[in-house]
Amino acid sequence: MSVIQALLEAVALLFTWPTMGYVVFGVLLGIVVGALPGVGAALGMAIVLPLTLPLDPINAIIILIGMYSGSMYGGSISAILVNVPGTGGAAATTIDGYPMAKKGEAVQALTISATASAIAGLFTVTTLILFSPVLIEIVLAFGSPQYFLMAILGLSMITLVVRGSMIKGLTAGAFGLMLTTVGIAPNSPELRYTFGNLGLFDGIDFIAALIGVFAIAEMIKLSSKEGGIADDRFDMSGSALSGVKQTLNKPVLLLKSGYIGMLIGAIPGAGATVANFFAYGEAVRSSKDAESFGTGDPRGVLAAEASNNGMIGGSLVPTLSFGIPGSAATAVLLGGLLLHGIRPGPDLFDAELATTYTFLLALLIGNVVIFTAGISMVSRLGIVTRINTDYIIPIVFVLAIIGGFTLSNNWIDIWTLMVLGIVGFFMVKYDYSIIAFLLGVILGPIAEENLMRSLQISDGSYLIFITQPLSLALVIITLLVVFGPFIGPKVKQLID
Amino acid sequence: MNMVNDSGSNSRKRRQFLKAAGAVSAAGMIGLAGCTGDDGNGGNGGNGGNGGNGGDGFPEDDVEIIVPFGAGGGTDVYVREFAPLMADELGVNVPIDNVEGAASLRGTGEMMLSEADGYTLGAFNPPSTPVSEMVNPQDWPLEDATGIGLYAEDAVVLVGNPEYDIEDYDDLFNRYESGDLELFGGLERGGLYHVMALVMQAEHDLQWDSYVGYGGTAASVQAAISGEVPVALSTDTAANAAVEDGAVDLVAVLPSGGSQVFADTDPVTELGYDELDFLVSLGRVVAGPPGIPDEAQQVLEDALRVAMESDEMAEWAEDTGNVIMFEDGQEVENRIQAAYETIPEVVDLDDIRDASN
Repeated sequence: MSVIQALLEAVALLFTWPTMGYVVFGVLLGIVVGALPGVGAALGMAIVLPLTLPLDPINAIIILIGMYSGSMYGGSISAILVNVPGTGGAAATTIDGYPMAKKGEAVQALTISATASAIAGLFTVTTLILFSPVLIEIVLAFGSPQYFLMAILGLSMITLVVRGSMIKGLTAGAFGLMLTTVGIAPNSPELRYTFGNLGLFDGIDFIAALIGVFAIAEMIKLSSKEGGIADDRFDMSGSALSGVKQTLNKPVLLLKSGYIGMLIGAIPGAGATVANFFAYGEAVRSSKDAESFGTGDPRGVLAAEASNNGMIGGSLVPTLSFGIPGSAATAVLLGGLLLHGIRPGPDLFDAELATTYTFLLALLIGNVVIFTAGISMVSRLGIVTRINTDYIIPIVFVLAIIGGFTLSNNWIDIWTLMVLGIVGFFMVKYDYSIIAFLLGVILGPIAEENLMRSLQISDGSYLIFITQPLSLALVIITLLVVFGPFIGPKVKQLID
Repeated sequence: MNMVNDSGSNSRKRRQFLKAAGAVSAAGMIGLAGCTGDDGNGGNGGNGGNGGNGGDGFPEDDVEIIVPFGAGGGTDVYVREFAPLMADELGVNVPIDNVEGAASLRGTGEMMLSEADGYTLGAFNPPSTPVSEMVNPQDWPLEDATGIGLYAEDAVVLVGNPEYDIEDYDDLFNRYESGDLELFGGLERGGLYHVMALVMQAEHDLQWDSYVGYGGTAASVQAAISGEVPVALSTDTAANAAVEDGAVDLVAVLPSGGSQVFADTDPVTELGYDELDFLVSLGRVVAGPPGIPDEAQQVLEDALRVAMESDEMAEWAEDTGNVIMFEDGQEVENRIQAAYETIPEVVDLDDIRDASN
């Protein structure tokens, strides 16, 4: 099927009633579940999945994809307002979003998030539509050695995002990595630190860790604060319009972050959280005043939010082409595809291209819905930061614990979020980077599993990590990220 | 854990709502399968000729099915289809509880440790779950589980990267023997597929040198497509799209009964290789804890049979390409026991536990 023919067929499919209605419904529902800490995209979609049974397959999948997209934006709402990322994909949004809210700029932050999400989504999905014939090749270029190197590159981002003592940052990252050794070892049945408890077989759930170090830790901190989250010294001066302007004034950062998200999304196993941190790390690296990040810099929100919506389109590629879900949300989406008889396979980028284009176009329309809803309704939620914390704290606590339990009906997740909440509180107090810790927790299993597998393939030879051009490029980028700040000035000095 | 416990008028209202919505509802991770139409007293559910659920009053309460895998997974998708049909038949709700994790041992353990009254069942997959239990022994006797029924079967197949041009299992055998090929792909080490590979090495003398494990059948197939491994194990359903598209070649169908998906391909037993059905024929079953009373077992078995033989399931199977079937509870117990008897005979489980190298 030709690309044009497929596109026309997709347009005809999508622009009908009630299909368009389902796009809007899915996105709005996604924004709501994304904003609820611990519920997020995957659980929200899992709840809705059986309800889609009576619908025809295309409409059912459109609702799920709409929810997926909406939830990425929704996740930023609670991240900005109460320092609780509704989804893993909004973890980096908290770094600057919450300080903005504390300065009374919640409305701008929410508007930047909506605008960046929508524009990045529009561009990346359009790119995916244009380049769909070669997308599968990109996915296939990444094998086990490249996944490992991507994880190491992600870990090297710790050196970019850590503020203050680097030793403390690396310690926090190492602590995160060590936690991931709990559970069944990847690629072997060896049990590590499970103490005979089945609940620990799958290790520490990173979403539970995320809720703990952000939500619980912040609520402990807020409990000593009078009044609302926003500091009373600041006026709620921000306007929605200024947020839109701020976003549009940074087109390079916006598109760069969106495309980083798209590429990372296309690599199975990485997902929104990794995309979020990569884009944020790159924003910090490429800025001239890196020290302003973490104190409420709008560019931090912009980069993080552009990346997670950019990620959505990318992540559909491995899910649709090979049935490989890169994240919990795409795993549920895959379940939806199977439930409705749409078999993932290379065919979806060939003979069945029209089906894939319908999903991508739905995402495109979904981004318009995100922008409209974000500007007209959500930005008004800035008022939440004025509510007395006596009301906010118990609500967030209850939501966090329910969210933690529903991850997999496992009490270990509740313990994880409580214990890491207390640990997180002290980490923040004594300046141990939460972001470094999370990068360790998220990337540890990806790195370990793919390291083991790569060495099985190469019969123990480490040369497998440099013999292919893509691998070598990833090694060089990692070295530049780690040693660039030291070597760069010296090279410049020599040239001068 | 049963979060849905309807009774009386609330129950009726909810069921009527569900009927109106025409949907299987879900509250949290719980799928609530509504009993449509009747008043839920269990007396008139059995219209399939079984006549079993009127006499002794079973069931009088919801029959919960624990799915030891995540919502939206392969097993979950099946159970969500047939649970409402079982509910119609039984005259009570059949809620689904996803208790995932620990290679299906968490959910299966919860089922095995529940009361043997027929109100808590589990949907797991022999020999996969038994292998997980044998590698990490638990204090509940899975080999004594009460069988309810087998509702689907996946055949394990081998797919190869087209560039290697592997003609069939004989050709693969020769290529390993000559040292032309070394790697062999499948799912995680220490799991069922790794056991299969070791047994094929021991029983078929397939001389692969290094086993590479992936995180699922789709990832295993992708590794064969990209050429990271020359051949990989998968289920027939998971490999179907890639084989049809020509992204991989079908090298071998392993169960002696062949594959419903690749019906034209002869199984390796036709080439003279030993039959390994106890490993390579993957059953999807419903079972309960040991000691469910015979009457209750019969009612549940009949309800699952009627569900699986219904027009709705046949239509769903045709629309989605999922394979459906029905074998009785005795067959389920036979399969589980065969796994427990045969696997330790042909595989050294200590070697598997030590399989990290």
